[in-house]
Amino acid sequence: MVQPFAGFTGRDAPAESDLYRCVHCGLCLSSCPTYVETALEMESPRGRLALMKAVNEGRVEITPRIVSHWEACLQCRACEAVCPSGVPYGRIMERTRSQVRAAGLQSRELKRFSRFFLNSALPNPRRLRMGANLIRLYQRLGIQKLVRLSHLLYLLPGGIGKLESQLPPLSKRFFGPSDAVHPAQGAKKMTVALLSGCVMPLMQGPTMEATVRVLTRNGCDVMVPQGQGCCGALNTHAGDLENARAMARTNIDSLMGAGVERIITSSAGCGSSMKEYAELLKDDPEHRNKAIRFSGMTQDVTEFLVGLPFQVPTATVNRRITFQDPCHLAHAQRITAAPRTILNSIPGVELVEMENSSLCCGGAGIYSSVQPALSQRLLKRKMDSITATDTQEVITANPGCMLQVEMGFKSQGTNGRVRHVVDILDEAYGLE
Amino acid sequence: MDFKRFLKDLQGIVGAENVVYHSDDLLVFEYDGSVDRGMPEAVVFPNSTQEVSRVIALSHKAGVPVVGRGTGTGLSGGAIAPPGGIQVAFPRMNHILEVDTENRLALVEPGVINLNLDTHVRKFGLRYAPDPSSQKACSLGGNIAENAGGPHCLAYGTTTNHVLGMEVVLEDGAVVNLGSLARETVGYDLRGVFTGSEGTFGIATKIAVRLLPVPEAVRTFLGIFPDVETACTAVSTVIEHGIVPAALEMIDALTIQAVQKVTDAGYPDDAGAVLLIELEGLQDEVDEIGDEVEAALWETGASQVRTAEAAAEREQLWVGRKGALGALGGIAPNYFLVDGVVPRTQLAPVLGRVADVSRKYNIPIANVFHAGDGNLHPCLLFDERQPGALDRIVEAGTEVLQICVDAGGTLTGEHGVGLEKKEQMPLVFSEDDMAAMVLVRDAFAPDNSMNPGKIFPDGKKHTPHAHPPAHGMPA
Amino acid sequence: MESSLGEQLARLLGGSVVLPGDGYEVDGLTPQAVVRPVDRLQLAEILKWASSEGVALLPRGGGTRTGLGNVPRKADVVLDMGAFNRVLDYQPADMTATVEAGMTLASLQEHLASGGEFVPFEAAQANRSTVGGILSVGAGGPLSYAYGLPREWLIGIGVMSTQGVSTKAGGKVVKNVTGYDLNKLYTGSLGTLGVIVEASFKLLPNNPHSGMLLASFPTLAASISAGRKLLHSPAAPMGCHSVTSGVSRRLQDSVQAASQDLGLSEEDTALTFAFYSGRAQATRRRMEEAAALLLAEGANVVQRIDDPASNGMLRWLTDAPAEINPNSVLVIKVSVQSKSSARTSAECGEILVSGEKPEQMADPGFGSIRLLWPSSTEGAAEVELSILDAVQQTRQIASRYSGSAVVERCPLSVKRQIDVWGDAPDSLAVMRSIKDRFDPNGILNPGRFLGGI
Repeated sequence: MVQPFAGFTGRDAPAESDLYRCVHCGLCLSSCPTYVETALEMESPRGRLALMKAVNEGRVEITPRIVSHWEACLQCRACEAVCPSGVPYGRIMERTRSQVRAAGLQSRELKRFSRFFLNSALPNPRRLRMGANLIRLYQRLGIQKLVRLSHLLYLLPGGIGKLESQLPPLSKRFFGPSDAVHPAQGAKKMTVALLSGCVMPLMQGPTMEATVRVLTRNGCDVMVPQGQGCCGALNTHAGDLENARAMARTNIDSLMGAGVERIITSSAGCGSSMKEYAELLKDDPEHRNKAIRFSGMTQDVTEFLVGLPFQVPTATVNRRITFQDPCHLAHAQRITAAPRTILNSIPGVELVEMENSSLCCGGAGIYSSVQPALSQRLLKRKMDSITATDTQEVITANPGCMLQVEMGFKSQGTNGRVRHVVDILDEAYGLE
Repeated sequence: MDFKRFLKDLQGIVGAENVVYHSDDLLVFEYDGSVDRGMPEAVVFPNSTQEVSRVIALSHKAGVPVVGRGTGTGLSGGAIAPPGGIQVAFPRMNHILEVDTENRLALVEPGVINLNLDTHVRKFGLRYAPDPSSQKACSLGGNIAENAGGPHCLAYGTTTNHVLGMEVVLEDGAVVNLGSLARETVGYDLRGVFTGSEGTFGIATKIAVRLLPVPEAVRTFLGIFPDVETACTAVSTVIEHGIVPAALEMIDALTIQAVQKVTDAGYPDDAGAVLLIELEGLQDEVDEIGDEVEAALWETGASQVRTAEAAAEREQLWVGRKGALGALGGIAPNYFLVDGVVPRTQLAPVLGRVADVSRKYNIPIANVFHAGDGNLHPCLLFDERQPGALDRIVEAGTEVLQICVDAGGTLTGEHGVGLEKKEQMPLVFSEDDMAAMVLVRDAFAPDNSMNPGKIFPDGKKHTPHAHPPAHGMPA
Repeated sequence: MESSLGEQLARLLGGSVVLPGDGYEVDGLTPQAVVRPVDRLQLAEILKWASSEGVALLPRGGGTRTGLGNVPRKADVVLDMGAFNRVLDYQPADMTATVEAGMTLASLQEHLASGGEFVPFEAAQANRSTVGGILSVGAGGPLSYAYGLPREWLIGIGVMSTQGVSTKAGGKVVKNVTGYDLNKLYTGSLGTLGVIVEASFKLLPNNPHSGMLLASFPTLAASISAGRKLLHSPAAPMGCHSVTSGVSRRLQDSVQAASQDLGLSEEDTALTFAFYSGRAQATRRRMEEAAALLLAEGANVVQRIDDPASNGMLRWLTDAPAEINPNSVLVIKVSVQSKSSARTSAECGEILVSGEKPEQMADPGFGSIRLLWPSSTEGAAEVELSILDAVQQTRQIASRYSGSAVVERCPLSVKRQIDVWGDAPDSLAVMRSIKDRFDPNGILNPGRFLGGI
């Protein structure tokens, strides 16, 4: 069934100029969560790149074993941030996965997931929302059958398919695009477009609303234009570059409307993905230049607020918190100071740093569903770091991390809660 | 030998999950941080000294050579598997067994990562001084094998000055203790000669290292100079003041350009050399000596001098130095790093002659080095995919080594000889010198089955990156 | 025998370099001749000859430590390296020097002083002790806590093999991993593997300021305990020593400057020496803080002694063991984990030889303690048993604290019954194998080293 395969082919083959930047120095090892967890070279960035080079050089075919090492990668890009040679690992892995996908050599789990979710739900916001409505119905009525139908389960942290009772509740209100403009409070500084996204408006609707409030409070007209959809990050990560490109084009066309000066997202994963539209669409004659502009305009909400700069809240929120660096904020976007600047600005907030805050929690988009075992081990490690801080509230800046750590608290049976940076900033503003 | 049977026996010792033998997986064990390659027949992850001993004894009986592998960050091919050999790697033996603050020592397993040890003991106000550039990833076992150095070895010495004792496994599986927890031991200093023996004597399974107190104050100086010669004069001037800094590092113009391309380290475009100096000690000491250092830098013609004492600001000054090697990737995809050492006073003339080599071969050479101890790191930049590039690089590299030796220096200061420089050994040592060394190896490993084929010339042409057959064995 | 060894040597080299062995007695054995080669060629000839004839050679530097080691199996010819006494290369700006093995430490330091530098180890009788001898013994001095042993400073070595072949290891640069580090192997090998001909060292710049604190304590235990605290404080000295009253009384006799107000009247009084050097301001601060700490730890008196008197004290302390040795019936050097210094000292302090407790010189930072039992008037047979028992007890204590106990001095009758180096470690087989390969005919210091090597 599997075709003999020599080398990478096609326009989405990993570029040799990227691949051969790796001088196998090994400095990435200690920052790679799967290497830290398994201590196996095969599960390290350097090992995965070596396997890619071996395939590229025609020394080996793409085998299920090799694919298993590539698929065990979280794509957290911690390695990329520490690589002294500047190897664009994220990009290489995305392209490698597209090669695996094109050759039909993905693992069964990933194939199954792709069929229902990546190919169907994500590119189609309406279908996604319908599924979410069904889940919400389930949560209200307890009709378990519906869950299996919806396949939204795949988005949830690993193992949860078997633990439906622990399913995180969907938001009471879904957030969504509209024609309305949320007007700036006080003097208007800027007009921004906010990415609504795929899962976040369904599962973290209040955080989306808080984002709007925080932005308007800081002098922004906020638009959440209709027609936008999922950023395509999950498709890109899975090597489904075609769907991802289509989704990118949709978002470029809908979000970059008249008068929009910045494109804001409160999801680190989406921000990272949108900042890379330029790379994704570099061969698209029609969208290439627009994508460059789009990526330049995109900012994470924390990055944007600190750059404004934001209004320092005056009310006191007396609380000890800890901060979990989302991989796609810390590593992919290299933003670590902005969220801390905001948190430290809130009177009364005591930020207790956890150990290895930027080591992936195991959420990693669809990873928790397709690699449940490793994902759970990483979550355990993360929860241990959180427990050691003796705080009850984890702040982060990405929906995937929020779901994963919530899941961690649930399985611990403890009462911790997880919120976004804008949630606590919004809370402080609300107390003024 | 029945290899299948051998594998089964290995699995019997360490457990099936701790033996890697599938040819796909072995692809990631054929390299280290150098340009050499060699595919092992299997990789074994033992959990205890006893398992190491049994694995090595079994291999010895089967006539299979063994090499220890830390994390594969070495730069001389030291951990590359010998033909037909297996690797014993230590991801499972990575525990800090004991930190004895009263005695200022730590007992560790060989798989412990250098920086993890340092970070851990800092909680007790102590530090592990040797800090190779790969300290985030490299293991103590590998550090022992290579006698690893690092920027701060200028003041504190290399790994050998920090190892008190170790438990090692010899080629027949015998477990032997070298050195002790006390500073002085009786008999030959086997611990001293084992350190830096590049895995050819045996494999360390437990290591006792000295820890030093964290200094009260640290101050970092960054001086910008118009050219390397002036910066070298500054180095001499500092030394003439009777100052031995904790670290004294330099990067040259080409490196500065590369660094500035990747990240703004704050170096002016026309900077010809950047000098980094770090002082450690009591605040009073750092203040007094610091003033002299700063004056010396200005006196010798620095165009800028920056200083920092707070950790975050010092980190900022180090950014360019620490990212230097990687930044070279922006100029060429590969570099061949020559680890030659010269007497400090020869730095400037030797760098001049290295520049001649660069012109002669038309190979860009960037210099990032430990100026304080004369340990050069000329990086010959190239693209391995160009046919014949590597051969020319090796030839030019040999010429650079000859220059170092002619200036009274030697082949390697901290990376080891390994596969990479073994054919250059005769530049420094006579047949008789090497014969004496081999006598010691023969005493530890009479059958030469521990990491054979390293260090000493055997006339086999050094063929880095020679691709082994795609499938070593069916699995 | 066709002709005496002396005659054979004289034929080989010419008479001028061969002397009779009288006065060069080692452990009761009088060598037949003393040969003093003037160059490498002669040295090589001697070694080739000795190897082929099976002649036992005893390499010798200044002859200050010839008592160290087991009774030699044979002692045919003393090999005097005194003629190899030149500085071969000294580059102050490189902070390295290469010298011949027969050069004395004092003349080496004097030479280096011209460049404002020094080699950071000490040895007793520096005007006689030679570089080769110091390396062969491998031991450190009072500042070992800060500077370590001579092994830390040796960067290159030239050795004449037992086959008369010149070999080298290391080099002249301060950082070097080219080839095996045989520097470490030869250092501390007691001349059993080859004859050290030359050595290269890394150096340090002279310290602009030095000084010391001398504190008296009611007991040795209190002195050691205070020393440990001091060593772990920011005011840590370069070296810290505690000595018992018997030792300090000799100090009072020999060093006038230190004899005032030390409160040495009490029988149990112990002295703490803390040596400092470095920049003026920091050294001053360290000494002030240290003085306060020592007083707080129960010192009777703390006296500050500045350079050059402090250097005199350092020399005195370095030489003290050699001076006291002749009046001692038994001297044992115990090396343990530094944290066990206090317990080791306390337990060893109770061991009696002919009813007498030992005097002690302890370096609680480095973890070494010298025990010196005074000479006795008892009959030889009783003393012998008592000494054997003391050696046994000391070794038990040392091994309890992961250490070793080397008998540096004892009556010959006792020496013949023991291995002065103590119990062999499990690596003895490797050591023996090294010795057999380097010296297949067993001509260098046969039997003197650990386990009869």
